[in-house]
Amino acid sequence: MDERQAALAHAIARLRRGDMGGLESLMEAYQVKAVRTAYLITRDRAAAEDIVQSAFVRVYERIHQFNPDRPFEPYFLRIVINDAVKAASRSQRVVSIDAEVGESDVTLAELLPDPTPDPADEAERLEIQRAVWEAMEKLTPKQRAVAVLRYALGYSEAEIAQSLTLPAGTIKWRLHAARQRLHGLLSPLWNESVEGKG
Amino acid sequence: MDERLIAQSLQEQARKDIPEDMNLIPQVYERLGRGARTAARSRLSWAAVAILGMLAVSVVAFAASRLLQNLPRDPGLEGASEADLVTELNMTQNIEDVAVTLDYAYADSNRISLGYHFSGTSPLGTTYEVTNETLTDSEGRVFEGIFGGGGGGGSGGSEAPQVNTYNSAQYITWDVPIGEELSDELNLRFVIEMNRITTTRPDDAGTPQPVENTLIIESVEPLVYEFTVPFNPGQVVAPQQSVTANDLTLTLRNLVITPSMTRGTLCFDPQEVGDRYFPLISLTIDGESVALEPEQNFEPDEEGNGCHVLRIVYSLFDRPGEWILSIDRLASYLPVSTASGSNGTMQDYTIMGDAEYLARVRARLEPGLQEFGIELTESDGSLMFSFPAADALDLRAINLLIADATRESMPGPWVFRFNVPPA
Repeated sequence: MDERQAALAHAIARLRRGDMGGLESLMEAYQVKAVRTAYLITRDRAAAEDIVQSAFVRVYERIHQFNPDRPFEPYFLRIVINDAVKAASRSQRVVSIDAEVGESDVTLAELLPDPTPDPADEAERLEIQRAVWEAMEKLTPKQRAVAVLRYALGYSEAEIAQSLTLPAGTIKWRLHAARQRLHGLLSPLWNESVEGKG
Repeated sequence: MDERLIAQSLQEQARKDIPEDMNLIPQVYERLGRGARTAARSRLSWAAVAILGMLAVSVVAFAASRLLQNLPRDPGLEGASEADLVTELNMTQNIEDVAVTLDYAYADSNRISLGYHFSGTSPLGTTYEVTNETLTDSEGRVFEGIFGGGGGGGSGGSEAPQVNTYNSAQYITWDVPIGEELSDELNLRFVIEMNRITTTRPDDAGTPQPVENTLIIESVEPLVYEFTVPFNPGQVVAPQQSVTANDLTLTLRNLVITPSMTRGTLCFDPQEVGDRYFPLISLTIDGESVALEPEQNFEPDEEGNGCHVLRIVYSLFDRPGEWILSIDRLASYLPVSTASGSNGTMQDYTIMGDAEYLARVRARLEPGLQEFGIELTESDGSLMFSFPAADALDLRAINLLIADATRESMPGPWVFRFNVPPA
């Protein structure tokens, strides 16, 4: 057990004894990652913070139901992700299928990173972010959750299945659907970029 | 599509909008200070959706009806088809010389399913890919896809093909939310969005060009199918039973039994167990064991509060009598991943994960493999085994061995007995 794991185990043990300092240690360790994850799914910072606050409250109330022999992060992120998907489902609005990502005149070719940094690069990088952000909005909340786990957190399919406690087939399907949708939305820009680079 | 670009963009977006120095500790303390009952706000609702990919395609143990013969399906859809409840549509639209035919549709209180297939040819260098499929109804509902599958392929043959040949079929199942009141007939609109990908070969233009200059991806006009399909409400039974084993109480609430699926609500106390485990089930009806896969579709339901939706993707409609639904045990995954493949000569399996978990998998898997005369080896942090692909080994038995070895379980059983009246 490394130093970080030992500190987390100690924090959980403190919390199980009713020591609020244990909860504070867990919050310090996980709050940023949890809020970022919830934010990428809900796309609403206030909602993301609310979800993570509630998740910590639940951890405090039910820490005795948590098996300390198991890793805390997947357990906690599962609570956060499930609540984020629910929140996103409630606020989901119908998005026109005709809407395209990046309807400006900027092509991905113009957005691709250049090895020589200059002020224009920053604008280009932000434009790429905007295109990806808009494309992510067009996924269903559940597709978005697996895309966030895959791309933002770097989880494998197996780790996503493990993290969400869902059958691997479910994850494969959702990730496939998310990739298919993102590909459809972003590939026209990609195509323009390829032509533009030629 | 550059997935690294997506990952980088999402990570940067999150870092930009959620700064490293954010701090929720005061707010959490404030909530706890108000007392746990008020701090724990009501659980958010969410759309219950589920899937069992394993059931999606190629479930060949069921006699194929005429309509679904050679089309991808699952056992529940197969049952609905055998009862002649699937509507044949045969609606074809073309993208140049490629025909896209919507073959059939089916709807009940648990699901809506559609099947379609591609046929025809396109010039070499031009291919089509589906980028999105949406289903809506005339009331403005947007249904959420939950599972599907497909098969088939393109050009083949021993000689170099002169065209791309399309010969593949897909099916998709959408969720019907619990309690949704639908009319006897549904007016549905199915839209397939596609891209055309054109690759210009260097010799077409006479002048070799860099590869990156020859790929053109463009959206084509979406294919739109509008049709009406009968809606089967199925029947509802309400066992409302609670059973306790291993200090865990499971409550089986309502069951919606339709010709293609049985969907029930299973609640856990303590609630968190349901977040970690899924059930492995068995079913008997009037003393007769029903052949089904023990792992079925299972996800948190809309209401939360420790309740989950269990979808049994089999046709159990109009099977009156005493049902005994047993949750034989609860299972959870170990964090390992399995890859398998065949080179035509050997069937290979590789299991990857942390050493701690691999050791547990090895201890469970090795005795079973030895019974088949298969040696398990460990190399580069992975477990590996292989056997001749031509051997008449039961691949399903091997896969079940792996499934058992890579799961943790909590023994039951939790047994629910209830009567289902005639439909």
